[in-house]
Amino acid sequence: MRSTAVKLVDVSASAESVGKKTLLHLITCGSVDDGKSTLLGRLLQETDSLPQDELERLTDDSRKFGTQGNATDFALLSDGLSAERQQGITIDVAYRFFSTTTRKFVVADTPGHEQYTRNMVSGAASADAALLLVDARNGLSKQSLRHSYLVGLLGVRHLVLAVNKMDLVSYSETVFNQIVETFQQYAKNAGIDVITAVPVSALHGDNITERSANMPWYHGSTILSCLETLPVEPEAARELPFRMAVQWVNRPNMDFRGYAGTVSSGEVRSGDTVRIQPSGKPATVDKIVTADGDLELAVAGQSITLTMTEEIDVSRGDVISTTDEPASTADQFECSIIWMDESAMLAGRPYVMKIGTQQTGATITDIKHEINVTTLEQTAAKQLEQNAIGICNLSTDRQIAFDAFKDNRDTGGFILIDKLTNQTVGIGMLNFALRRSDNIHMQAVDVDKGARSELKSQKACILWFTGLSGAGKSTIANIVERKLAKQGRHTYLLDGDNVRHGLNKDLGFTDADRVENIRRIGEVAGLMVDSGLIVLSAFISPFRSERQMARNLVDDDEFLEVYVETPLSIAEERDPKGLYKKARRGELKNFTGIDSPYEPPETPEILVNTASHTAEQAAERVILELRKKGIIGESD
Amino acid sequence: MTETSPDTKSLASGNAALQERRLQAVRMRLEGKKLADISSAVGLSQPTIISAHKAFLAGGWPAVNQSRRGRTAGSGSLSDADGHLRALLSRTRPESASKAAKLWTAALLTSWLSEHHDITITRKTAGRQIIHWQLAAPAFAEGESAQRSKLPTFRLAVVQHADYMLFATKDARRQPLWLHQHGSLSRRMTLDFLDRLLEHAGKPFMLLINGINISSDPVLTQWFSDHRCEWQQAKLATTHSARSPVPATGKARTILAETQSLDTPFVEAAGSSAAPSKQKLTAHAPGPGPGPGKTEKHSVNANSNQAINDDKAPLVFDHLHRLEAESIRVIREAIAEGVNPVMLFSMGKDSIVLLHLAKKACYPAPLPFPLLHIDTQWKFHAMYEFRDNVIANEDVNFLVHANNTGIEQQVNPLTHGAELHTSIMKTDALKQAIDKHGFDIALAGSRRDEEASRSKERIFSFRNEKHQWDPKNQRPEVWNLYNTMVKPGETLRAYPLSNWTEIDIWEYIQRESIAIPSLYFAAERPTVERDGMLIMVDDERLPLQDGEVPMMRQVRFRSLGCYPLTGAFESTAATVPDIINEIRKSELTERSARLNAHLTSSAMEKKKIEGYF
Repeated sequence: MRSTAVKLVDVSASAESVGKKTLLHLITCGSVDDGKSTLLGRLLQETDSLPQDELERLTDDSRKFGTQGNATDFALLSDGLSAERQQGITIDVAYRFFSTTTRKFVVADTPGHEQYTRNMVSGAASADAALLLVDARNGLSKQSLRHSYLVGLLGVRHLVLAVNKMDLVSYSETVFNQIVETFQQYAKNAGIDVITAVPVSALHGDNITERSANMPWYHGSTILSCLETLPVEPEAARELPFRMAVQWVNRPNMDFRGYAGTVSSGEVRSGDTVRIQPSGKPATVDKIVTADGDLELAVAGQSITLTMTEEIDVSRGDVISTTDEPASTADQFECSIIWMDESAMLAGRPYVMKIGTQQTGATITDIKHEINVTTLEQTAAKQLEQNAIGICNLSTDRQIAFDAFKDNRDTGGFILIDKLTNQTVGIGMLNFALRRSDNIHMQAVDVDKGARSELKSQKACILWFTGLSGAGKSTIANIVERKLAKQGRHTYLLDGDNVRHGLNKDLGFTDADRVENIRRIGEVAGLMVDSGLIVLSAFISPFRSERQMARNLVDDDEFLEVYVETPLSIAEERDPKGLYKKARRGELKNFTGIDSPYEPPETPEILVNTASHTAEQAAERVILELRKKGIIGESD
Repeated sequence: MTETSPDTKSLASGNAALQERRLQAVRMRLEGKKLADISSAVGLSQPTIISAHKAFLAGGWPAVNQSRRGRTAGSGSLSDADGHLRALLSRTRPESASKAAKLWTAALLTSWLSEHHDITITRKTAGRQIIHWQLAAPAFAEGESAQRSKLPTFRLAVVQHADYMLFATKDARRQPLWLHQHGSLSRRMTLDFLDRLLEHAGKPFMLLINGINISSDPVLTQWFSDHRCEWQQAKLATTHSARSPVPATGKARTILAETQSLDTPFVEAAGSSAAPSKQKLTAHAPGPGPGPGKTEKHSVNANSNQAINDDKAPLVFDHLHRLEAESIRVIREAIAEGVNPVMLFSMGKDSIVLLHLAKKACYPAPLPFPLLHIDTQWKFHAMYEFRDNVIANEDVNFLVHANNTGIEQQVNPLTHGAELHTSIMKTDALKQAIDKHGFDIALAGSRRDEEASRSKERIFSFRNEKHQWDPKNQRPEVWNLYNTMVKPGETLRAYPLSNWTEIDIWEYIQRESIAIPSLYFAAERPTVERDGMLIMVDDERLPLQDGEVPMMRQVRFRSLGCYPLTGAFESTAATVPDIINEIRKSELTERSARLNAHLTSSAMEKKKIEGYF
């Protein structure tokens, strides 16, 4: 009989072949020439994960781009981009897959160069374990220390140290022990938990999948058996208190309201009492809904939908927790930050923060120190450059639910996004809450802003004049204030130059100082608004994000951005203080419009153009707008 | 019966030439030439070369010579022709064989063979043939008899075969009854079977069901109460599944079916607005017994008894579970963060698995986003059929977009070449559709193991307002935090299947019993060998070149694209487990039979930079 007859789907066979494998996310890291790719290539080959045609393509590419003479250059396996092949360097993470009878591996093969740290971090953050390679001849390089530090910082709990090229040091036990000892010392200080060290030769296959006869002194396991036995993350997370961030509220009809999410730690049963953080409301789990039927129990790693017995308000971003050990809530934190962006991190600048499924505005309030990854020394820093790691204080716009990162990656890890470019600029780990926010409460006062404004029969607000130097901000603000005073309004004019003579005389003109300058002015203006005044401020304030920060300090309708628009050429022509000339001569650094950018407002409340209007006309227009908006009444 | 080819002669001479090419291929292989080079030199596909080489290694030159391909003309026994007959049988409705027939039986098969095919077989042979073709329901587990009913009992197994769903059952005398249904499993075809079975039995019956899970489908359960029939979910004798059981309620009496991999809840049920449909259907069920609430409670408790003895390690959370959970998380993120998300659907296995996952992610809600098919106009017929089936049977908003400019200019892969065709009909069409509908997140089933530049992609991958990818400047992506912020005009592509491999996809298709186009399964198909690829002659759109004679070959497809660009390869894998075994042993990558795959790695990167998926 021919064997082509159709077979019934063989369930028993599939249950055997599927269903017993676990999945481990692994990252390989280390310095450029330590043999990462060779080791990975060998693992792929020995687990039959390299099809013949791919191997041939690799051989082909090796001849074209390879660095190994005529031998196969396994590095090219991970160099999937043409730029990488041509330059012979790995720029971004490549994901490779192999599996054994008990485990499937997702391997993030990461770039070794420091300049691509952000890409290395992308691969490392989701890993359960890290495989760090060092060259036995060179010992621990700066880059291998850097990688192991990052791996530990990002919460990868298990590290396998592969001491490679043992064949080139005559399989010496002493060399191996020295490297392991040095590393253990470093790891202890860097806070890396579990380390397994294996002496290998990736090129010759010693201790990769089979025990090496060349190193009879080594009694530990091979790389592969080591990787096969490491615990996978969801299993470890099962022991922790229950957390599930609500990702999406599923409401197909009036009868069903489910909270969809992935259990990040612990377990939940139907009937459990839970606490919704940050609001702290208690609730009872009614059902654990999945498409495969309701569950009685769900554990870390499962994507589920919970329904609650009570009718309560739960939305995306809330963290459903156990009642006895709920996620904490706070809005002031100490955190570690890895800075990713080309432009440096500045304290005081607001960013968008994403933590779990919560999104909020956040500001770095203080950089406590930067960490030198090689020496683990702490150095003072005013800003964090790209790839720098710092310990900072962070303030969020509202209370958020969180855990310390070391306890829970999902509720303690966050990213910072630049509001203008939408780039992911920073990666952070919450260390602990600063209890300031708990102990300093706002003092309630009887006479409030409303009462103070009413006395003056006006509505308090900030008129924030922004524009290039020489656009006419101060001139117009001055006329507006004069007109308001004439009407009996209570005003105060904060002028850039004047403030820099006093309150801000310690600040210069670097980007970091400009941000702080505006932060202080914003705070002062906020206090004045609280006292019921109409505040006029005239500052170049070139960055959108800082103007936004000032806006956030007062209520929505209290901030009026007045864009004094003037083409650069006209402002430069006016040059009332001779500053443009100085800047052009190079005597004045960081001058807005010349060698520092001005970001014009996208939707200012009031726009005046001083190229086509006189200062008097512009001021008249501002007054008109104030009437329209009900800040001041019809002229009285 | 004889299988006389209309062109026996040319086939024979074709075979001689082919043998020579095979020998040449083996010689080149022994010289250490690369597969791709050999393929272009002798014009054979890479799998053919590998198998010839293997035959040589196993049995020397004679083994290479002896190996035949396709069906040999003139060999006329039933078993030799069975592939053909089985295919024919699967397309023949019982009523075309005999007017009064509702379901296939051994007697009907015997008379059909003798009347329509001039083949006389004994009753015994018919029985053997039914077993050989595996048309009978498999044995059920012991203990099922404990659930005796007063009604006559039938045992139903629903099994997915190469190109049809088989509804196999046995009557009271354990005589096989069966029905083939084409297309993906649906409520409609199940109702059709039930009506036929009722007519065949002539009275209400009790049905032990395996292979589909009807408990969550109110229409099907309603059918049973309307026709005074009963049902139970049952299990196969051989099944040992570690998954937590799903409670199944039938009538008032509830038995627990051990969920096995064939249990597929119906799409319609998942999409229906009545979320907790189980309680509702229990209330409709006739007969004595506890009230609906109690029944449900009872089954849940029983469930927990079986699944959760030990507090800490009840759940087997294997790699497929973890991949599934991770993918669902990505899909939900796209739903929660996207203003107007869309899911690309190409009728390939990855798209189909993605759709399956999306339904799970949204359960019990229907999909909150549309499916979008970018129609290049050159898909296989079977793929269009599959698409139409999805449109007809699934509760989804289905959009089809084609590049009309391309159609007007009659752009096609044959005269314009693969690259231009793909660029205009796929990449440009996709950009048009995204712009037209204003989608901000496009979900697609691409996987990192497919190709070198894909292995570099983030899960949420940023595209500028021109749909371009900047591989050298990707956003960092850490933990499960996805930066989904875009400005107007900019978009994101989201790849929930990033970390799945080809094998994972197949194992999941197996476990979840997901219907896929028949082209993935081996069958006799007319093909020509061209540029080292086996091209299926799907219709008259493929002009034959000089000397090309379509040959029937037992082939299947490993990935599906536009048909003149997608090579088939010789295979006997006709079931999902066969395919899994075949891929495990395969020495070629998945896309080796795609014309595009022969382009360099940089070519794919370039396509992706321009906006290709």
